[in-house]
Amino acid sequence: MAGAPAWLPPARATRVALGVLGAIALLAVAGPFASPWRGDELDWARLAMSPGLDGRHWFGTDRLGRDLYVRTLEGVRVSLAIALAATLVSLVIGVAYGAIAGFAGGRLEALMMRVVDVLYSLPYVFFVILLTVSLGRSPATLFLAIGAVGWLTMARVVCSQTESLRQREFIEAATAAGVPARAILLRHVIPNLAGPVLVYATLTVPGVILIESFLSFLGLGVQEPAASLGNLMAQGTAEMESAPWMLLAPCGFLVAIVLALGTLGDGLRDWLDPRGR
Amino acid sequence: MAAEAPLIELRGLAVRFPAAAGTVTAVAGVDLELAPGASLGIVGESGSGKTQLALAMAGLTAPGALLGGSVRYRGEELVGAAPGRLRQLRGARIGFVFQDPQAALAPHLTVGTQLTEALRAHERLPRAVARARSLEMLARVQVPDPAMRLAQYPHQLSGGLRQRVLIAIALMAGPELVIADEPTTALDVTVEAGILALFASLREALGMALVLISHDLAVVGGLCESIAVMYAGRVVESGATRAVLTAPRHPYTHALAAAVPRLEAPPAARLVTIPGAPPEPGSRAPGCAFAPRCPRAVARCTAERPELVPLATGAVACHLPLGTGGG
Repeated sequence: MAGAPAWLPPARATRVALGVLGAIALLAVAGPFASPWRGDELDWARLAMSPGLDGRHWFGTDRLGRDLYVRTLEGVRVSLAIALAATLVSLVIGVAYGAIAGFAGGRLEALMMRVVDVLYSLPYVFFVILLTVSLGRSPATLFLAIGAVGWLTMARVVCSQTESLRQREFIEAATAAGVPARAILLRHVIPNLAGPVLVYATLTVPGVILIESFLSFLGLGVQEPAASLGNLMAQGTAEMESAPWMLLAPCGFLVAIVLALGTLGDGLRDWLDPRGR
Repeated sequence: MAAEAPLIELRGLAVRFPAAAGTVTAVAGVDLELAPGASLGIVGESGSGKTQLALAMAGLTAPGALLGGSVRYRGEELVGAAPGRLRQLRGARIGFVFQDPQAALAPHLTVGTQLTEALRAHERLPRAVARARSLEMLARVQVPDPAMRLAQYPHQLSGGLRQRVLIAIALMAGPELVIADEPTTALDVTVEAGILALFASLREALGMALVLISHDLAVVGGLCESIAVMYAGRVVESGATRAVLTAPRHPYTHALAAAVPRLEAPPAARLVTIPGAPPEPGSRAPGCAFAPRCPRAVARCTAERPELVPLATGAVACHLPLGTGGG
């Protein structure tokens, strides 16, 4: 693609994915202002109406006459924010924890990974209920609950990757050159984790959105009248046969987000590998 | 040699690894010493313990290895030294060149980053100074167009260039001792000759001591003043290179030298081999480890292990060395 700025990843699919994600994010932030309706406004004249120009309900309305275009975009905003924040937290904690454990090896690694195993074995829902009861129900609590558990798998992935990296000769060569352990970890180990970490992180985002929807369904997550992709899909599923648009609108966005993230993860991994440049 | 204190001195160095059944001995008590600026070649077959010996000299043995004996660098004990102290010595005092330049260079960092990293691990230097020193070192190891190479990644270099970069990294912080573990094994013959010539010219220019590990007598013979032949974790013969190669005293050295293929030999001639195989590192009989393969072996050889005995030109560990009658 001639004329494209040099800082953009070269693969076309990656650029398209980046564009799609950017457009969805922009729509989620600015889109609701284009509609005359608000998310919690009821249109008594048009209940469960299919998408169309009538009343300017572009995605139709739900059973209570609320505008689905606005509610879906608000849901995208909430879900994306929770997913990105939780993924970022799991990324930072998981990579740091896993890389240190895997690089240290021996007893420290065994100890750190057993701690992860113990946390893994805690019943997750019980843990979330405890958190919501003690901290109150809010998107922040939800994000904390998801982030607190999300880093465990990341730490395991990173730990085993680091362990196999540690045995590579270039790490030994850096040691032989007298490079301090901290520098080896930061400059030699962590950049080489980028591939699996990015791919796993792009898988975490849809995973978090699904956990969020499950928790919202149990009444522990995002609550009415606030919308999230999770609770919109839960409502849509109930009306699937009579009003499929209620399910299709949030699902369409989820599919677009997940696909774009997957493509973006693959592209970034290739882009970060110097051999592909 | 006696006038100058040795740069590095090994006494009874042993490297063992815990295994399912007891321990496996890779190096079974080696005494060696090297004066500043001297060069030593260590020769042996695969499994003779030469790589573990080299790693132990730089304090690089894998975690879990059991070290015995002593390695003194300028009088300072390295066996059991604090990890922080070993880190200070590595690179700055003792450089290490690995066998496979493909694997030993980090694939995701540019040549320049890896060179400056090796330097800045030991000296606080501004980036520009480190870069200038890297350019200088690349020129010194005869890499053409060093400024361009600095910005490249290892996969963009040929095998020979990669090995030169690896040598440059080992030399960045100005070590007095360079240990090279089979530095030319992964390269083809013409490139190998270039790398060996480079080692010779670097030694002349920088005055560093060199320990060269190789399975190839010719490589060591051309580059090192003295030589130590290892078999089954022990030094079986050592001495001045010329003396050891022209008049080997140990039957193993003799067989090794005879096994080098010769261009003058008629095309149909069979290659000379040493019958049998080296003993497994786990199972070592009481006698001489080479006895089962030795054409000169007598009953004493399988019962009693010969010690390394000093001779006029070196030392040999054999009950019936060649050139002392009887052969």
